[in-house]
Amino acid sequence: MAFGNGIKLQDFESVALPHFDDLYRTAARVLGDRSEAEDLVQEAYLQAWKSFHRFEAGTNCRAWLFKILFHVIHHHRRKWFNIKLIKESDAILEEVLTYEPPIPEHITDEDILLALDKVPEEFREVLLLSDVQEFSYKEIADTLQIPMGTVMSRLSRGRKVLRTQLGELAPNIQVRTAEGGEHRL
Amino acid sequence: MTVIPIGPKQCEKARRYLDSYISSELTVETNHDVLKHLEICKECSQILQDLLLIRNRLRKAVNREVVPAALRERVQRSMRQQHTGMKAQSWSRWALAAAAALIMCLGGWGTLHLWRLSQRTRTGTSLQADLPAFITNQTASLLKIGVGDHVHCVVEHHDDREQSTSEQMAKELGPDYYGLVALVDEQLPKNYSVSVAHQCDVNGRRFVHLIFKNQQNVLSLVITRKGNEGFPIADRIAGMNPRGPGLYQGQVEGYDAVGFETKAYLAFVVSSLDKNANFQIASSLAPAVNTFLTHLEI
Repeated sequence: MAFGNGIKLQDFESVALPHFDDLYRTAARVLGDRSEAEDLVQEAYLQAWKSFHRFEAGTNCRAWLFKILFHVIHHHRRKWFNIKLIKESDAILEEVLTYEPPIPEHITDEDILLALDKVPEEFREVLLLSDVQEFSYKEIADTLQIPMGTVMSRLSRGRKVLRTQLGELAPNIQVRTAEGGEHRL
Repeated sequence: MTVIPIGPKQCEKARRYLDSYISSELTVETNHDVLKHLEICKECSQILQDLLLIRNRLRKAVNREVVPAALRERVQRSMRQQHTGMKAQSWSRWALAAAAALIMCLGGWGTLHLWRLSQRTRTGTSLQADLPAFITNQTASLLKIGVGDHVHCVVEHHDDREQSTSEQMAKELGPDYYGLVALVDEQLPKNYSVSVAHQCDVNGRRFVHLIFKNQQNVLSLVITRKGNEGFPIADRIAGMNPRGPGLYQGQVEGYDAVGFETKAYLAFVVSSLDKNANFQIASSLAPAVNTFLTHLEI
């Protein structure tokens, strides 16, 4: 028991709370619902505190917290949305795998976040962990409990879907093609 | 070094690596090859720029999300509440354990008090010793040998027989050690008796093991042949009967252990009793067991 081992809440807070914002932002983007993200981040922190006696000092606390967060999210998701998610990602993949869209020249944060929301969740998770939180493939594989090869393919597909969604979200803004020329869609 | 040259197939190869390239996951050699290709291929270089642009914009957009200040407070508050709950739970467990221990100690004290009186009548002396508050690592590691066998057979129930017959004990101890059963039975407090006696192997070491119990407590007398080990004289308990062996006492892994040694053997009395109760029983057994083992060495 954590208390029996003399572990102080202050010790936990000093190593775990600096990552609070990263965990919340990731949860909010994965779930697409701030209120749900708040509940699950709280649940993740409570679980982390309860099992803090198992955390090895000197190891990567941030990666450990993200692993707990995704465990909580997946547990929550399994209850409600699993079947829907698989169907959604398969359908979107069919559309984008052969399509190389041009990138809008002037994209706003809102455009990016809207496009990200349309990336299937299993790709979005890897995108966020890799491109926003800057975890390595190995750390992502460990966090999501998936093979490294799956991390690589989900990341590649996630980036491609994001690019496609960006192109579709901004049909009337100036875009730059891969060949370097500019035109209006 | 293999540079990926320009051409549709080479570009296809380079583009396959671009995701891993921007994630810094390529080997130094492949990274170098991709970089060389990018220097001479405008199309692939543009694709890389696009990937980097989207990644950087994504990072910036996600990190602009404002985290509700009230959420952090809410989480900290709920952790404190859980912490307080754990404390209360922990204290109530301790309180229950302490109450149970107190009841057992009172019962044990009554038993021991009667037994001490009978010992005084038998030997004409009172058992008094200054039990140490601290022991050296050397003593602790020796006592751990005895505790390990006690835990293996008694706590983990590798031998959970209630009562072995005399025939079983004779067979399982062997002729050299069977005499210990009667000897130990004779020295034990009246409400204790030897219930199991056997030889066992734990962690690659052979033990002669006598388990004795009353209605509440189980104790072990554990004997093993010595290697190069020996108890350090500094930890020897002062004030003991000079005719008996030197005794060494300590708490190991939550068990109380008293050890002593002959020229060829290490012997231990191990139990969950408090240190004074365990010591009283060990000190009454030690002289007779010491004499028995010394005779085996001749």
